[in-house]
Amino acid sequence: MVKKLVSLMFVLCCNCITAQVHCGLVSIVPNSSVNQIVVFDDTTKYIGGITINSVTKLRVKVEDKTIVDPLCSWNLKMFIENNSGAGTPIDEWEEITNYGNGAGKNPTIDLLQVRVRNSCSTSPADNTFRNFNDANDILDIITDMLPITNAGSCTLNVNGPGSYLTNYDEFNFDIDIRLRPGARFNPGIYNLNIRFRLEENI
Amino acid sequence: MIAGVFGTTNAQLIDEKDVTVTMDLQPVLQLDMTTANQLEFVFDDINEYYAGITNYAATILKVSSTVSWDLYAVGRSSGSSGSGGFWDQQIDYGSDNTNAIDQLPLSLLELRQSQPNSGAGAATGISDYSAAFSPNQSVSAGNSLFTNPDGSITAPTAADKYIGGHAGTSGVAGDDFMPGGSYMTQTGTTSDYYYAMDYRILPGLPAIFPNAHSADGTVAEDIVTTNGAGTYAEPGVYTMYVQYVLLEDQ
Repeated sequence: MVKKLVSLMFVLCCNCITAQVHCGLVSIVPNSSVNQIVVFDDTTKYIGGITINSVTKLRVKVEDKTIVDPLCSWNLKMFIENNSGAGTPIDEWEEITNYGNGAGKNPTIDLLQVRVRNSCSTSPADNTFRNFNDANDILDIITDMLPITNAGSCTLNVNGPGSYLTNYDEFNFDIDIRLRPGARFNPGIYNLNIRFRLEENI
Repeated sequence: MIAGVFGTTNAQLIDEKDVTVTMDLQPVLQLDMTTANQLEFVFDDINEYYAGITNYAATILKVSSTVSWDLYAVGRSSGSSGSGGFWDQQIDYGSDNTNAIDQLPLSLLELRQSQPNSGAGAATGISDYSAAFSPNQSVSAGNSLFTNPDGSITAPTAADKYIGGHAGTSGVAGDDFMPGGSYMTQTGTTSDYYYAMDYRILPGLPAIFPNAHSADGTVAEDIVTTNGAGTYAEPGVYTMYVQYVLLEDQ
């Protein structure tokens, strides 16, 4: 009797673990890293800034499980990392090296502007340059815990299962960046990492 | 409870992608200068000796810099007249009278900048060339060109004149540097990144160049003070050049 009870608890336990998964697959294709080097070497670039369109494309693929769960939906967010664990101030770029005497201020994170866009304008922030203020900031592309909007509707906040292969205009996101430092910061080489995270909603 | 823990920590599907942005901010110190290749001051009339000759806005200086900067002018020559601190005599007129001096100090050239130096709070002497040219009967050290006795390009000290910024690296705004910026965005008639430079030579009569002074303005370098009473500038053709130096604050 006791043995049967334990077995039942184990089965329930397993069911509970898998029961939280609403989707069968959540992936960004490809998810390999990109390193974009931006060089400022004349006054025009400093004043006018440099914009790089489509520095990367986020191609989203979200599939249902074999047994379809109607709660399968997803969210997409942007995080910023500046290696703050190594002592970088929370609102500055990670300093790789300084040129000159470095008497001024290192560039601040808000210098980096990021724009997300796709043809269906599914993100509420579509086609708008936004910036992070510090390394704790998180910017939503598709917010979590929204009601499910199915693929194919070509409207705001599409977050149901689908793929860039079948609904490219909703499941592909072009990422643009813009940097306009002006003459405010120390010359040098600096790094920032933008992390895009695709999650299923739970 | 175990199920709950497993459910929230392991079940959610996530994928991530990273974009690393490396920004290379290279230092830019850019001095755009509009000027004639050669400025000529021809003294062939007695009034010109008395009143001097002024070339207004003969040089336009436009600064663009991404770092804190200093800008100064220094008089230089090839040293053919015995020292780097004198004009080069190209042609000698007259009969070589013993009182005719061919060593004309570089500091006899006077400059005037259109915009006062707003980054010279720590200066201990005459900080810039913004003073109006003095009347021709009044001796003044306010505008004489900075020079080094050996004719070198060495930067002025805290007691000498700069056009923008000054000696020292205090880091205190307004004291000894001009902040990064550009004439292209800091426009207007009072831009700290745009200077119109006037030039004047006032020989006087006899031609002793009364306004020539040492770099800090404390020692007169006119012909009589340097060479004795009765001396005067030897007629001839003389050349020198003004070097404008834009450098990171130091």
